[in-house]
Amino acid sequence: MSDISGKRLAVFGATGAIGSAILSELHAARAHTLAFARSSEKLAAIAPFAAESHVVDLQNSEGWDDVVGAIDPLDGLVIATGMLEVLPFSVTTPEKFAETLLINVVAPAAFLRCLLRAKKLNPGASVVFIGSISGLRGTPGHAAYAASKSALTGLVRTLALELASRKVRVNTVSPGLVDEGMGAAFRSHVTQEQFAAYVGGYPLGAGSTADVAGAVSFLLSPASRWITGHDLVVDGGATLR
Amino acid sequence: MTSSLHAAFLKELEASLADCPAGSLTMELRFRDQPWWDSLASLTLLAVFDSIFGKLLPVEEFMKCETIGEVCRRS
Repeated sequence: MSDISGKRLAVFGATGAIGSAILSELHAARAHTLAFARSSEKLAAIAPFAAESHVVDLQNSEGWDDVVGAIDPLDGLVIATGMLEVLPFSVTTPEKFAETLLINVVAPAAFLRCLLRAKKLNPGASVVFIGSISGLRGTPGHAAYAASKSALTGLVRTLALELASRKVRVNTVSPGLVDEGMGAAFRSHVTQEQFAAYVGGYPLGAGSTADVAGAVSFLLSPASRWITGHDLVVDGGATLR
Repeated sequence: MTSSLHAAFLKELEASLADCPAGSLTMELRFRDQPWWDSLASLTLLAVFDSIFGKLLPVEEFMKCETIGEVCRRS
């Protein structure tokens, strides 16, 4: 049931900490992996895990049609793009707020729309957005980020209904803090004591990108074929408190 | 130029710190001793520093500062 070998699975934001872990996991499971990212240099670094690599900038729709036209239909995709800038609300300008929403919600949704209109999702395909527990609970300094991640879960529930007739499933994986990528950026904004106290709030301790990748792989597999519109929280129990 | 930037920093920081009484921020203020200073205030100061001076103040450097003036001298 969990076999994804041979499936055409795309990862957007494939060069980020979580995206590259997901790509590696899918590659190990013998999926036909497609890596999408802005930087050709960074794509080259993860080439061993990608059957295909495509340069795409989700913030610039010029060229999307060419990229989408060049690929065969997908059995699944993961959207792991995003930005996190830790800023208290009082210093979050409207421009920064809008930029965060654009990068974390609007652009991924627009690109997914482009794929759907080009008929590039096979029946039974699985779409997974990477959310965050910041979208589920308050976190100081995360106003714009939290708003964007909350928006994703609303988007996913709607898309799950709209695409169900094609048996396309849409879900979110919402990780807690992993000490890589954005997690490392968060760490750079706080003292060691503050970071240790934050991690202390995780009953199972700190997580890793591999923990997130495992959950994503499950949602891409036939083992989750009756799961759609769901937000799978992967946080070591942090949000239980 | 520097003093005007420092003044802009003080003005923006005071506006951004919700619990900071109006007119209380000075270069000599030992901010960590204030009852309204907390971790969110620290984050706010670092963000305002970046936006006014156009550079990041490393957390380790910030932890060495006791007064607003010492923060400004790292701009």
